[in-house]
Amino acid sequence: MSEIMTIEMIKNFLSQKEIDLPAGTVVTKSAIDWAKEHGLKISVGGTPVAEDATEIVPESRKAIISVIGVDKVGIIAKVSGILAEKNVNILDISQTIIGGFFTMTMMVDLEKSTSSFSEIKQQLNDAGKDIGVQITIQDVNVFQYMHRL
Amino acid sequence: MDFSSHEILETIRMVQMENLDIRTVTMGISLRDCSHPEIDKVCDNIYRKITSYAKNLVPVCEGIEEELGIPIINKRISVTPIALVAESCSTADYTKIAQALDFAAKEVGVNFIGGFSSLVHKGFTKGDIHLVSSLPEALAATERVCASVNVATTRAGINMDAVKMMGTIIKETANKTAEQDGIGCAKLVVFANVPEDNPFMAGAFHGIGEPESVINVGVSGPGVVLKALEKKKDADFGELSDTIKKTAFKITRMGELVGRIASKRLETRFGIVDLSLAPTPAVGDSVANILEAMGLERTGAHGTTAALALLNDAVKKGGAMATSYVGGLSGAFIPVSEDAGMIEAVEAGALSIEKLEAMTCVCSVGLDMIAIPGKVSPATISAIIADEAAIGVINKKTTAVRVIPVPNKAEGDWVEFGGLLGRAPIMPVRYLDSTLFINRGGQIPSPITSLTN
Repeated sequence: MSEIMTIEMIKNFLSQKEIDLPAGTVVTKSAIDWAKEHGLKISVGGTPVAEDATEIVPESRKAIISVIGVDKVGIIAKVSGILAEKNVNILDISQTIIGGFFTMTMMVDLEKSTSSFSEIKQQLNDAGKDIGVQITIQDVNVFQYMHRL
Repeated sequence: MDFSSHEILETIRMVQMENLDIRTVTMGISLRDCSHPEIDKVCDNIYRKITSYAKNLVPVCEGIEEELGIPIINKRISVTPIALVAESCSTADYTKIAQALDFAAKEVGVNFIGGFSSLVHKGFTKGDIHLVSSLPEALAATERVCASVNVATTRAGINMDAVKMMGTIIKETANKTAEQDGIGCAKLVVFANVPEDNPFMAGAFHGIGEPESVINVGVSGPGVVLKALEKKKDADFGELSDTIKKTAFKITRMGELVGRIASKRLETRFGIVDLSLAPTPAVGDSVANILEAMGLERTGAHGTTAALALLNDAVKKGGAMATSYVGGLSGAFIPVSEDAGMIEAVEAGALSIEKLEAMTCVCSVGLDMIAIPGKVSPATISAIIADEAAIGVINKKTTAVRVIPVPNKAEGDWVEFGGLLGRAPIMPVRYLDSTLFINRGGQIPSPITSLTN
């Protein structure tokens, strides 16, 4: 039976930059991910451990903003204004009117924004209240996970 | 747009109008290394370990709620069954340990901590006897501690000595919390075939086969399923099942997402998603209403068991695709006091304890959150437990009993626990005597169907 290196065990190596484990050691995925995040290089028997190509959580910093309310002139301008000011890039916009309700959805990129998610959310909330619409901002993964396999 | 307006609105509607939420993110923590002969040292070890491992649980969950726009209703902790942790203690009364758990829970901000538990399906060790004997006092002396005792498994059979003892313990627990209508019993579950990774209270504990720590997620969304079914008034059972499957998939996917993010940010292994459909007392969040939407005048009508069987199965099929690791109870819950539709059905005289017992054959949890008259004898409570254990053992499923014999109240009275524990009308039980049966003691052997090797 080969030795196993788990995430709990690898945390003991935090102070080192590199570790070389005996040949045949099995390193768990969580341990690899942890090591990667903390700048720790692992090799087994002299060979660097290959990083798994699939990422578990994209955490892409993309979000979906939805604006729902009674059709009003100036909604797009107001929301875009806030986003521009916060350096949030708009990737796509879609809008529709269903039963008198105006719905606008935007895909945005928060990568270059210096404001936090909470700050952006708060400002959008406040703006929504001013105009009389509901503005929601949610990480794109919510929709990715729910509506795509 | 990668997603249509329709899809985006569907998600928003589910959260804002149909009660889609993450019911719980539960961190399981091993306390196996906290054992010590001196109980004060055990308490200290437990308190330190829990507060250290779980210190970021609540803030991280709150951050996730903010970013995803999906409420995470409860943040909870489950621990190694305390009977094991305290086994080496020279003190017989484990109440102090329960209090240490309670303090730790309050310190990190979780609303329940489960694991004041014991596994006695084959018999008692000293630690088990002490834990079980401590239950009434421990549950009266604490607010957030949840307890469980596993009295049977398909492989081991049913420990009838334990069943007998638990009837008495439940009564004592009720009496010790008489001022609050026996609320101690709302935090105590007796199990058959208990799962080691259940994130829901009151039966959650961190099993022996589990790692140092783990994140388990419980999702919920009876309201979402109900809304989906309301659009299918003329559908046949195939289409009904399909609709539930798809909805369960979407609900469970949210659990998967939350679990992955929480696990990453807390640097804790992601355990399982429990895809149970768990109701709350809130309007529009009822499992009973789903059964009624399938075409029954009232939950409790003939046909209820079949409807629940369909629901339970469809939830599992849809949920299983949504997550890498399914665990916990994973099925439909039927807790009486926590489901507005169930309460109405009991009030209307449509739902009896016998019908509930039948329903436990096809869903994941047993007789749950049922208030019974305070005068019910310990032997009758034991007999109720024995029946549920038999159903679980023979059918290779988890069953449980969480009944509250409300002191000084009778059939027709109401009990009000508040919050997620809800309110319930007191249900009648049969008063025929089972004392001689319960007094026999010993082990009901495991069924032949358990010989699967």
